Amino acid sequence: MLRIIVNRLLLAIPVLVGVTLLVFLILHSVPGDPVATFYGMDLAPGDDLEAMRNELGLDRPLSAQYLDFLWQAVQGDLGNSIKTRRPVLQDLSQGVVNTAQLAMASIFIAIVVGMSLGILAAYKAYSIWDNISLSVSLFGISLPVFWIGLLLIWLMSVKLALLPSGGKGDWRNLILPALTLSLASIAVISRVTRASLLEILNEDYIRTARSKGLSGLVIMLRHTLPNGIFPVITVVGLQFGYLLAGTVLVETVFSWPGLGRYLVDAIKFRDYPVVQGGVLIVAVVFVVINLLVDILYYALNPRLRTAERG
Amino acid sequence: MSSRILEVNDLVTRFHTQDGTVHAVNGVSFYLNEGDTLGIVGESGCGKSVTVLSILRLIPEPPAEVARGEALFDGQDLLRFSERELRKVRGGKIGLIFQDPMTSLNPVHTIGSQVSEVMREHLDISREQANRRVLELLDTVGIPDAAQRARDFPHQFSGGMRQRVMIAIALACNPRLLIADEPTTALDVTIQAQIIEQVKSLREQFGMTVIWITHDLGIVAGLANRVIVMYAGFVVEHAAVADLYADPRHPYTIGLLQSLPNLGEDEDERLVSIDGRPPDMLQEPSLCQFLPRCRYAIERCREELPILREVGDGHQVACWSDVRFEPQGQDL
Amino acid sequence: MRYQATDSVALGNQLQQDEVEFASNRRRALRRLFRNRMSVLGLVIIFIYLFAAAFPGLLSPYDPIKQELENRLQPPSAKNLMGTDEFGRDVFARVLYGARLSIMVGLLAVASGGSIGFVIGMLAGYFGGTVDSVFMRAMDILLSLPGLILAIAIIAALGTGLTNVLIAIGIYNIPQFARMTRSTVLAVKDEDYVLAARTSGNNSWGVLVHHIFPNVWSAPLILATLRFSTAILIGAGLSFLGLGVNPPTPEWGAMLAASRGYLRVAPHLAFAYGLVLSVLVLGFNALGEGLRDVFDPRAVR
Repeated sequence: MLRIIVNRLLLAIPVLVGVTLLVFLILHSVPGDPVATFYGMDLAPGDDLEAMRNELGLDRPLSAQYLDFLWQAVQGDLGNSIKTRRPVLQDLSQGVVNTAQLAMASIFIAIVVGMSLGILAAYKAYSIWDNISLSVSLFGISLPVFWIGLLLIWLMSVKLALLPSGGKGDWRNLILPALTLSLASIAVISRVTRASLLEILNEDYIRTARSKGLSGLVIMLRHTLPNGIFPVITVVGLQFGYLLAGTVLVETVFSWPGLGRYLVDAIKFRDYPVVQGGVLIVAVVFVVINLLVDILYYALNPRLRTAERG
Repeated sequence: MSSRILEVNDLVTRFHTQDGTVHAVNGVSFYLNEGDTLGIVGESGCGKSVTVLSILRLIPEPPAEVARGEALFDGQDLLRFSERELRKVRGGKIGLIFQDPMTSLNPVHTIGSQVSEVMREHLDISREQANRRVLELLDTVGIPDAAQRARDFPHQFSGGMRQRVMIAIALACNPRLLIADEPTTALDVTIQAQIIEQVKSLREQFGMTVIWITHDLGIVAGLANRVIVMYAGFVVEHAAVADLYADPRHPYTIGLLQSLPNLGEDEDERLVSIDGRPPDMLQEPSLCQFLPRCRYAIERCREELPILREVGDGHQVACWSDVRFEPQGQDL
Repeated sequence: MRYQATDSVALGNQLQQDEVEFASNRRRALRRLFRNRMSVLGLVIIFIYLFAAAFPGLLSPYDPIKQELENRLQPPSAKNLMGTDEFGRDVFARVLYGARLSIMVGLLAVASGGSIGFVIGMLAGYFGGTVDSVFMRAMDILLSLPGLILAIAIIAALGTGLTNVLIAIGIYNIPQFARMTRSTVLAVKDEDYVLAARTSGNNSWGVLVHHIFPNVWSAPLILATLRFSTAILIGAGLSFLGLGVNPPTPEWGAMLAASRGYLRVAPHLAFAYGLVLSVLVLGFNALGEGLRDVFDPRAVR
C-alpha cells in the first residue's frame, strides 16, 4: 500500500514539472518584451533595457529562467502582480479559498446526486425511470454551464426572489453557483455509475448473491456498488478537473470572487505574473487530485490492497 | 415411497432477443423425491441450467420469460411466489452451487462475511453465532485453518477451495434441496473428484436431496440415483441410473453413452461422436429436435412431436422409434 | 443462426458478442444508425443548423450587425421573431449568423487538432520506443491541465480573436485524438495482415498508409463527433468570458455575456442565445451517443 502511494507520488513529479514547463513556455511566448510583460515597467525611450534585463535575469537562457521560476515557485514565490504590486500568492490566496469552497460544494453535490441517480437507474434499468434519467443526463452534459447559471438566476433571483443572484455572503450565496457547477458532473457521474453497475449486475457473484435470497437493495448496495465503484472514482477525479475549469465560468456568472475571476481579470489586464500563478495553482491542484483519486482507487480494491501481503 | 419434494410440470422458458425468441426450455417436467439425487445431463445449451434457474427465477427477466408451467416445492408452486417469498426459499430451503468458482464469489468481501451473510439473512442468529458457525462450516467442507482463511478474500483461494466455500454458503442454512449447476466443470480432474466426494459425504451428513447438473454421464453414474437427459430444451429420457446405463431408449442417450470413454477397457476402442450440429433454438419446435441427427428416425418422427411416455418402471422416453441399445463395439 | 449457450448469463454474453460481430459489418451498422433514435435526433438537429448556417439570409432579412437604437430590447414579435437586443439588432438574425460562427469554430478546431493528434497517435503507436514516449509524455502534459484552463492560458499568451480561439481549442483537442489513435494502432499493429505486410518488405510509410490507416480511422471519427460539442462549448465559454471573439461579431457566448445585464428587463435574450447553443450541442452529443451505441455496444463512456 505504502509502496503504491510512493510509486504514484514519484510518477506525479514529472507531470508536475511538465505542467510548470508548459505554463512557463506558453506565457513566455507572449509577443513583446518580457521586461514589460512580466514586470510591468512603463518603458520610457531612454531606459536602459539591457541593464534591466540583466538585473531581472531575463538575458539568461530560457532554461535557466525556467529553473529559477521553478525554484521560486517551490518556495511559494510566484512573483508580483503588475496591477497591485503585491506578491501574486498573497493576491490569489483569498480567491483560492473561495474557489475551493465552491468546487468542494459542487463535487459533493455531484457525487451524492449523481451516484444516487445512477444507482436508481441501474436498479430500475430499462424502465421509464431509466429513460428519464438518460434524457436528463444528456441535457446535463449539453447545456452550457454559464447558461444554466443565467437561467437559475432568472428563476430563483429575478422571478422568485428566493436566493441572491451573486456575490459572496452567507451560505445562500453558495447554493446557486454550486448547483450550476455540479449539473454537468451529476449527468456524467450518474451515467458512469449506471453503466458500471449494470455491467457488475451481469457477474456470476451477483447470481450467487441472488441465490442466497438477499433483497435487491442489499445486492445493489453491498454486492454491486463496491465492485462497480472503480470507474466512478476515476470519473469523479476527471470531473473534478472539468469542475475546476467550470469555476472560471460560474464565478463570472455569479460574481463569485474566486481564482477563476482573478484569472480572467488578470488576462484582460495583461497581468501575466498573476495569470501564470493562477494557471499554475489550478494545474497543481488538478495533478494532486488525480493523485489522490489513484490512491483511493488502490485503497478500495482488496485485490490490489492485499497483493503485498499475499 | 418417500415424499415428493419437487415436481416440475410443463415448464417453458424463452429468451426474447434482438435476433428472435430463443426457445430454451420447452415443456420440461420432472420430479424429485426426498433423499433423491437427480442428475440432469445434456450438452451445453440444452437448457438444463435454465430449467433449474427458472424455477428459482434466477435468470435475468427480461430478456428471459418463464412463460408457462409449475414448480411445486413441498406442494407450493414456486412460479407463483412473490419475489419476497422466493427470497426465503433461495439460500434458505434451497441452496445453490454454480459452475465457475473463480467468478462466483464477490471479490471485495471476505470469505467469512460471504458465508455468514446468508445465515444472517435466513436464520435468527447474532453476528457472533454466525461467525462461529462460519468456522464450523468451513471446517466441514474441508477448508483447513478456517479461522485464518475466513478473513481472506476470494482471490487468495484456489478454484477448488473457492468451490468448497460455495458449498459452505449453499449448506449454511441446512437446505432441504441442493442444486449444483455443473459445479466441477471448471475444475481439474483431481479436484473434481475431491469435490464430488465432499458433496457425497455432506449429502449423508445433512440428509439432503440433490439436483446435479452436468454434461458428464460418468459423474452422474457415481453420484445420482435417477437421471434426466435433456436435448434442446426437452427432457428426452428419464430413468433410474442403472436402467439408463443398462437400457437407454433414446437415440440421443445412446449416442451420449457411446461417446463415453470406458476406462480400463480396450484402449483402441474409438469414441463415437454424434454427427450433426445442435439445433437452431430460434424456431418454435414442432418436431423432435434430435431428428436431423437421428439414425433411427421413422415416418412418425417427421409428423408429430414425441411426448414423454412410460417404457418401464419409472423409465420414460420421448421418442417414437422403439430403439434398443446395441452393445458397444459390435458394429463400430 | 446456430445457437449454443451454457446458461442464461452466457446466453446474454453470446448475444452481445453477436452484436459486436454484426457491428463490424458496416452496412448493417449504418442501418442500425438510422434505426437508433438518438442518432436520428442528432442528425436532424445538425442538419437544421447546417442549413441555417449556410443560408442565414434566406431565413432572416435582417443584418446581424446593424443597430436600430430606437428599437431596443423588444420582446419577440411577428417582426422580430426572437425580439431585439440592447442595440436594437434582430436577435434571430444574430442567432443565425452565430450558428455559422460556432459550427466553423467546432469544425476547424476539431479538424485541425484532430488531424494533428491522429498523426501523432499513428506515429507513436506504430513506431513505439522513443517516438512513442516523447509524444505521449507531451500529450500527458497537455492533458494535465483541464481543457478550458489550457485554452485560457493559450489565449492569455496569444490574445483574443477568432484565430487564437481556433488555435487554443485545436491544441486542446490534440492529445485526446493522439491517445485514442495510438491505442487503436496498437491493437491493429500485430494483426496477421499487418505483420504480413511488414515482413514482405513494405516500408514503414507504406504499411502505415495502406494497412494501418484503413483500420483505424473510424474510431477518431466517432470521437470527433463527441469532441465537436465540447469544442463549441469551449469556444462559446471563451467568448462568454470576454476572451474569445470580439464584439460586434455575432457569437453566441459573447451575446449571452451581454444579455446578463438585461436578465431583468429582457430575459428573452438569454433564453434565445442559450437555447440555440444548447440544442446544437445536444444534437452532436445525441449523434455521438448513437454512434457509440452502434459501433461499440459494450463501451462504457
